[in-house]
Amino acid sequence: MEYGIMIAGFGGQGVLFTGRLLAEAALLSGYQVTWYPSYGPEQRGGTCNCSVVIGHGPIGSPVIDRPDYLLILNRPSWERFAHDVDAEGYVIYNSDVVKPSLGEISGCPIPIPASELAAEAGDERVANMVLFGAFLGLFGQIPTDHAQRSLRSLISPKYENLLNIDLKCIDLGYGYGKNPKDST
Amino acid sequence: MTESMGLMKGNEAMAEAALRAGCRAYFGYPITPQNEIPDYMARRLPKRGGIFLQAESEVAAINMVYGAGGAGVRVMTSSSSPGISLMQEGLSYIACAEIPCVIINMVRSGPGLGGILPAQGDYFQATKGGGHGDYKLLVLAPSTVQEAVDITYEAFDLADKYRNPVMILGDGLLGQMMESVRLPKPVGYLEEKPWATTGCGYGEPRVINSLYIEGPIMEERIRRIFRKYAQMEQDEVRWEEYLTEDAELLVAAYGSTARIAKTAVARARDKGMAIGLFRPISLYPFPYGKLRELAGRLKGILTVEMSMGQMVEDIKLGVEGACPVSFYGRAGGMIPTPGEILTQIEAMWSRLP
Repeated sequence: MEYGIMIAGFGGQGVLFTGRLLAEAALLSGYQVTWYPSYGPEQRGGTCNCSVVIGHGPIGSPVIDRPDYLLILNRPSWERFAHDVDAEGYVIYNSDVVKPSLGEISGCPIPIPASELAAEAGDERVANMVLFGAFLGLFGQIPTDHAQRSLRSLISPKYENLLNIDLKCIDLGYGYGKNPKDST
Repeated sequence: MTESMGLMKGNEAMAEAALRAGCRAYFGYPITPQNEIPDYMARRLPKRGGIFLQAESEVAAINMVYGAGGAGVRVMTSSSSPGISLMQEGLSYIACAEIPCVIINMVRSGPGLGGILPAQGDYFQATKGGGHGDYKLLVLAPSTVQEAVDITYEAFDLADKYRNPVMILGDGLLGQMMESVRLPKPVGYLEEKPWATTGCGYGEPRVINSLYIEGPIMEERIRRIFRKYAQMEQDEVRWEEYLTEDAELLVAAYGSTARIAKTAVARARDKGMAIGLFRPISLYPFPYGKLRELAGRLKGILTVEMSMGQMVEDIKLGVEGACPVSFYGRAGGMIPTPGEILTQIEAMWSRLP
């Protein structure tokens, strides 16, 4: 079984970092992993996305055409990718910045007030970590301590001060992801 | 013995594999999507006793490769499509002079300056002699980051063995993606090259040259390098088969496209279609023989490339008309999705008698 996870947002929202973190945590949890960034003109123009495929055997396509999980950090990404999600997949999105008309996608929408939760944790910019936590809760097969270990090894010294905030964001998101019904 | 390195980008992993293969000279000029290779080399190569030099152009870089290779050093360059075009004259000289070297082409879209996204439009250039004259490059096309590491490591041995340039044909997808890798251990002692121009004072003069004015001498030179190509065609043909045993249709694809096709083939199998995958790994020498053998019991082959159709010509040559060959391609940096390829498979399957 392979899972395709896409993360999409503006450049600077931590899209590639979130994907990398997910890839490292999945690797620690015994998965094989591919991580592929959008490196083309779209990244240079502002929007950015990243594809992570995880599975228990050798990964085929690193390119995802119907994500099982889609993490959305801005409205343009919803418009571009939400409709591609697998019928049994999930769209985890920051409901503080994305206000979609629901019922327009085939997958299951998981709204998370990620900016608000991130602000509560100490910095509203790290909404990406809340969505990542929500993914972990929903997915349920990557232990949070693997995510924490990966985060500690990946975070650059420049953002060392955000480590505790990031960890808190992952926890807050995890709760929402674990019990998605409570969040709607 | 190998060493697990966790996740690495394809470009970086290949650079590290080259260092471990004993590469001690790198010359190049920056271009996306392979910049992590010179970046990695610039940081690490000097520390390992080698030389990293950013040349003034790709033309200069390939001639520096010629020089360092002639001096017997394990040497490489890397670039992407337009840069590789600029290197073609030098590659022709190097092939004629029988200098071992390794070239990585992380293909982007063309023609022209094109774009920075992945493509496979340099197949003809790589496999059919992109420069002038009668010569071949040994061309290998990895499909995963691990395979890129293994091939890069081995490429230096192959280059030395045949005294011929070895090209590794990747693309932006392979270069930019990350996968977990195991790295081979660094090579130890490398044999001295009895032909290398290492300075005066060691007996008979050695000359490295690609100019042979006399017809008979030049013809013999060409025959000599073609004897090596005949040897490569015997010993270096490589391919991968996936679910081919009972397949009625095959998808043929190489490099990154092959692994996307693999997912499409797996989905087709889930739907009950007898589909397999044939992935050439050595693009020159091309696995014509194996393909001909498979084609005899097939009802068709779908070739998929990130180009308007280049390898498909070798597929047809190999198949020798034994079964129909069709083609699906995306170009310009557009990557075919597993779903798109599956649609093509289904269409071909439904037309079967």
